[in-house]
Amino acid sequence: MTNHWNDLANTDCALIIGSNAAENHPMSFKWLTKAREERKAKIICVDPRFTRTAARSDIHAPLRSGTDIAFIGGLINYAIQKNKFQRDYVVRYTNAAFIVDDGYDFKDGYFSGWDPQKKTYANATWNFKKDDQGNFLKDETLENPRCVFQLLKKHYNRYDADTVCKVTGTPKEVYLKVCEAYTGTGQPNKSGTIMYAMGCTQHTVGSQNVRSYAMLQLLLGNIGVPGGGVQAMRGESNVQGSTDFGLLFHMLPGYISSPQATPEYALLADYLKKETPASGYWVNKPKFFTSLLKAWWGDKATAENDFAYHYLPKRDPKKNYSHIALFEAMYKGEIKGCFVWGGNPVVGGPNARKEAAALGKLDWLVCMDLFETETANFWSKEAGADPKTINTEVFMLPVAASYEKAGSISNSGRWCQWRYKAVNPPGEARDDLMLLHELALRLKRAYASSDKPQDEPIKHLFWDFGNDPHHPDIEIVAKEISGYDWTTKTQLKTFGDLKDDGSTVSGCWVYGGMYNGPAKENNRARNRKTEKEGIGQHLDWAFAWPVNRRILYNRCSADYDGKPWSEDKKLLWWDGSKWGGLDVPDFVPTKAPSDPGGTDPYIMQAHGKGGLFAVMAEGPFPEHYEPWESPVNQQPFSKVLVNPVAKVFETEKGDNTKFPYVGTTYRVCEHWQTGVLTRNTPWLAELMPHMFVEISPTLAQAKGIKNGDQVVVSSLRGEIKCYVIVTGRFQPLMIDGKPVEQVGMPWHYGFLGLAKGSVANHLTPHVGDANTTIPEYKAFLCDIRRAN
Amino acid sequence: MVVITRRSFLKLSGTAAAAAGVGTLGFDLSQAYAKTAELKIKESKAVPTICPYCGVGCGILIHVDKEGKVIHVEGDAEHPINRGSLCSKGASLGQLHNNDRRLKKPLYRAPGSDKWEEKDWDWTLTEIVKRVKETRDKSFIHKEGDLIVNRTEAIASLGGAALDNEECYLMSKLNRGLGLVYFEHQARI
Amino acid sequence: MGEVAKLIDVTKCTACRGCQVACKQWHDLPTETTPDKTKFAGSYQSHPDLGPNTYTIIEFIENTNENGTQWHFKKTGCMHCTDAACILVCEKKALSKLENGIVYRDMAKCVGCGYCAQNCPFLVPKVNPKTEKATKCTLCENRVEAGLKPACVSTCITGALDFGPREKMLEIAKNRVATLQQQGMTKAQVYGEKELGGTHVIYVLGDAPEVYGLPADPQVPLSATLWQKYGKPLGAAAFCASLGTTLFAFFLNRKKDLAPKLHHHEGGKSHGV
Repeated sequence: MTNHWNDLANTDCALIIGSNAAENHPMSFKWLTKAREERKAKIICVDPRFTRTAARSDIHAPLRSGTDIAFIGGLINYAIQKNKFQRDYVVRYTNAAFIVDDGYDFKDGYFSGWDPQKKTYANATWNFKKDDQGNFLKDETLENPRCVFQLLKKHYNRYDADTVCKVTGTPKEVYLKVCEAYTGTGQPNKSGTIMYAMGCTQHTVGSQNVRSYAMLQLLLGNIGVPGGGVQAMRGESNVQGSTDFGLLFHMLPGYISSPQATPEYALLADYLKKETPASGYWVNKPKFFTSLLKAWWGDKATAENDFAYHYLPKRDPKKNYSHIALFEAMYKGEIKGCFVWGGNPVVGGPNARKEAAALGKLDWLVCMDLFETETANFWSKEAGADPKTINTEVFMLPVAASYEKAGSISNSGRWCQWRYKAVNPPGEARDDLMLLHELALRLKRAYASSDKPQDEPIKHLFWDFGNDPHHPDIEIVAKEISGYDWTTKTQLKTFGDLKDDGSTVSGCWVYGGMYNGPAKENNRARNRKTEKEGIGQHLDWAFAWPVNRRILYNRCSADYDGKPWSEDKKLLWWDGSKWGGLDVPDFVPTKAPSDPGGTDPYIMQAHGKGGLFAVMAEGPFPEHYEPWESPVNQQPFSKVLVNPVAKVFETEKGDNTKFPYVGTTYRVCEHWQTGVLTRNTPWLAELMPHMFVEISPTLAQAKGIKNGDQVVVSSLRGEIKCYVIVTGRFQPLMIDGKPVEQVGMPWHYGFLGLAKGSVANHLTPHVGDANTTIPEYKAFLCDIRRAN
Repeated sequence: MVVITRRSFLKLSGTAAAAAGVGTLGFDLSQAYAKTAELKIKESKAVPTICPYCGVGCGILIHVDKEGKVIHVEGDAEHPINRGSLCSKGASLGQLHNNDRRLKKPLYRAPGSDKWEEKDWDWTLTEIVKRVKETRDKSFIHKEGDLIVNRTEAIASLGGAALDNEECYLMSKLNRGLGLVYFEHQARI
Repeated sequence: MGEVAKLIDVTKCTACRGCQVACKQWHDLPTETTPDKTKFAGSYQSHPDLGPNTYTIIEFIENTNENGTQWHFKKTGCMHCTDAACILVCEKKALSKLENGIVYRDMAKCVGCGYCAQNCPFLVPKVNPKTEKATKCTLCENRVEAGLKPACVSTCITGALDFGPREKMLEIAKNRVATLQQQGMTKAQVYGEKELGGTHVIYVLGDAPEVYGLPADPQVPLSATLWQKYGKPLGAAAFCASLGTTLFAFFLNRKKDLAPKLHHHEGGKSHGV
């Protein structure tokens, strides 16, 4: 989230798209309800189905799953055509005025640089023109036909309401109501927020879906202001933190790229040259990266040995190591051992049957969880497997629940909050911190006597978390994350104190300064003071990274001269000598608006501006492409049906004559993810005891299905049996004049626990987003019939 | 028009007879009921935690009695995000601890076996470390040409979105120290 | 404190069902296990009805018509009536009225005869066949006494539930109804102000009571009044003997009599289907 949960109360209009906030982030409705009551805010729910969110919204606009870019593209077009965008914001705070490279073009569904043979893009032309001094060429009148704004206008001019609605299936009058209501936030005294979750990201165009939201917000001047922003509502309690700490193949802690096995990354200097931009806040990357290396290899990280840079694993640049690719490699027998630290891909992974089969190719599997998981039991008869034929050794380790241990977690609003231990875990269950500590110590012992250079990274791994052989001192771990001076061991106040000479340590620079002194009270995750009056920033409650900032890009809350755009939306202001107000400024507090870069609010960008035009895998502007499995064979925006650079691992796709319906998956309020915890919690299992699929009355009639029947839902990947809910909350959508039915189901269920049911992900494909390889769970083709 | 059935008559008679029996059977339930009427959290201590479910981060109080048992769970009224309120998932948190389905010992499943065996921690960790080392050593790529790459593609690590930051950090550190590149978690799915 | 009331504003409920779980948490109630309560009902609703271990449920009421789809979420439980039929018929004085208006349930005295269950105009109390006790919402009278709000109210996210002096709750309810009417919900209304002498659970409804499965004009059943007047002094056996089986069965079958009227949307099933 660019903003945070309490800030939803400051909005004038919430556009909930790609999320079912009332069910999956229920507390969001505490603050949306407040906004509605106190500010007369409007709530818009854009969703293929009528959800509990829709029930509490002012407008429910149905759209076909996988057509967000058409929907938002039309809003962008509307805002421009009707002059509803916030011009002053757009001119100076976004790259709208930048002049684009002469070679850039968009034709017949492809951007310039498309290589039809290799099926890849060369993106050299997706760039800006510079003058001789290296300054970006701009036209702040926004009239130059080659400026971003004009190219944007041209691109989305094609997204008129009629064409959009033909694709999305949204009734035009409802769509226009959304356009009118949401673009109303383009005024300086109004703000709108866009709230999304996996309904947005789990598509072959997922990243561009997010980008389209961000672009609309930039046009309307909605980023960096109270009640505005783009809110990625995270589905797990600490998926924000786990991402911050780089539990992903391509990223180290603090959003620093993991090195690749190419000469460009051979030495530390090469890495820094490749990864450090010439301008923007990332110029400090060498400080962050060196402090990370120092945190990991301590005394063994010296200036002479590149701070042990060569100890870091370098990934093969030709390989994709992401979730789907990982299971493809496992399926081929390339992976021998696997740890699952809380997770359940046999229920939650795409094409889950294939993922279960892949586990059978492992030599060993280690699972940690509170309850037995389907993944740890993939070999069992309940899983439909023959145990005799599966040779994988499996270890299932009992671990502590959240309040049976201490530690911090970071919510979607980047608030890092401390959790205290209330009770001991049951039996011999241990917390994961203990497990990691013991495994590390034992592995280091196992390699202690090795003199092979390849064993140095583990042998020399700096692991100094107290003297207890079982339990590490969590305070030391937290202090290492935050950062300290290597010589004096004093905690640093902010990541601004980090150095690139090996004199400082920080395990994750974005949390730099969170633990800013020796005492436990210095751990600001423990802060517990609420705001008595104000706009709900709660600066003394917990710690928000970075540097306790609550609203990102907050320079945008004031005009060029540093004056708030409106009294109602004021956040920060320039008092003549410094910035002050209701948040921690997103830039140097003494940088005057008239100083160089004084109107560059997007500090992480090299050019300091919001990216209306930005480099992505499939082009600089989001363009509508159909889901990989689509109910239509052509689409009106271009002849290119599917994202040409989507990550496709399947060899065959479902035929829309055999599988005519749009299938999608989702969650319900009462269960969480793969249900390991909630399906074993009696009170929750009772609330949602059965797996079900939801269909419209028209589809039910066509198929001779009655509410409460058992049905079989099938896709090219397989079929599942479950109950059916026949409901008016599902309706066919008119796509280019033809009704298209939708079939939806929760993905929480599996074969263990108190509440059991079929695994929805037996139907979903191994196909991913072009930028992130996030699976396309949300739109696939299926069929349904009554079970015999 | 009310229809009398023999069944409904018997049903009530049965209930009434059974009810009459309570007093005569010698049970005195009054104490038990008086106890539930008492405020159960009177003597407990409340430990603040944050909900382990979605990404909102609501504050929760775990009420623990003198014996260290979880006797009640309720929203943290001081918490600025939820102000004491909780959805069904958050409100159910007590049953994560008070739950006889919880795993209490390490389990091991041997190749080809159709059952779990309970194991002690020392054996379990020893065996896991053995396998990690063996797999790593067999698969490790130290160099590609002149380039030091220090990676293994034979061990994968998944998950972590429900762990604490300190745990995530140690996992990131340990996995990279071992040379893992197949390192993914729920943010990708 | 004077008379208290719980306010249920159905127009603000998101059906997260925190209240359902918080109730079970406070009262340490197990799950329902009988097939009638656990079978798939073709809806999101957890149970078709209240149960001996379930003092409150959210009913999911769905309507699809030419105006689109409405999905109503209605919290159901004891209304804590002023004219409480259950108190009238409780032979063992297990049910009584507290000064603050709560219909108090003394489990020690209850013998599980089920008269309360049969005579309640809202069909709220349920007899637990195992413990042979009738159960229902207590309005968390022990929490209220300790200055806390009822468990369901404390956990409510959106302010759909509120609790306080009855007069104040009525005032909030009326203001809210006025707002809703201004917003075009012309049939929005307060429910419980006058019904049954005034209930201590008050609804803000967005539509007519029937839409939510509430009787438009709930009455203390004649059977309860008769029982209070004649039955109680005589004792059950004598009363039945004197009246004969027919009338006796009339008391027993109140539930059947009322059932179709109250539960026409059984299990929250879609009207559109």
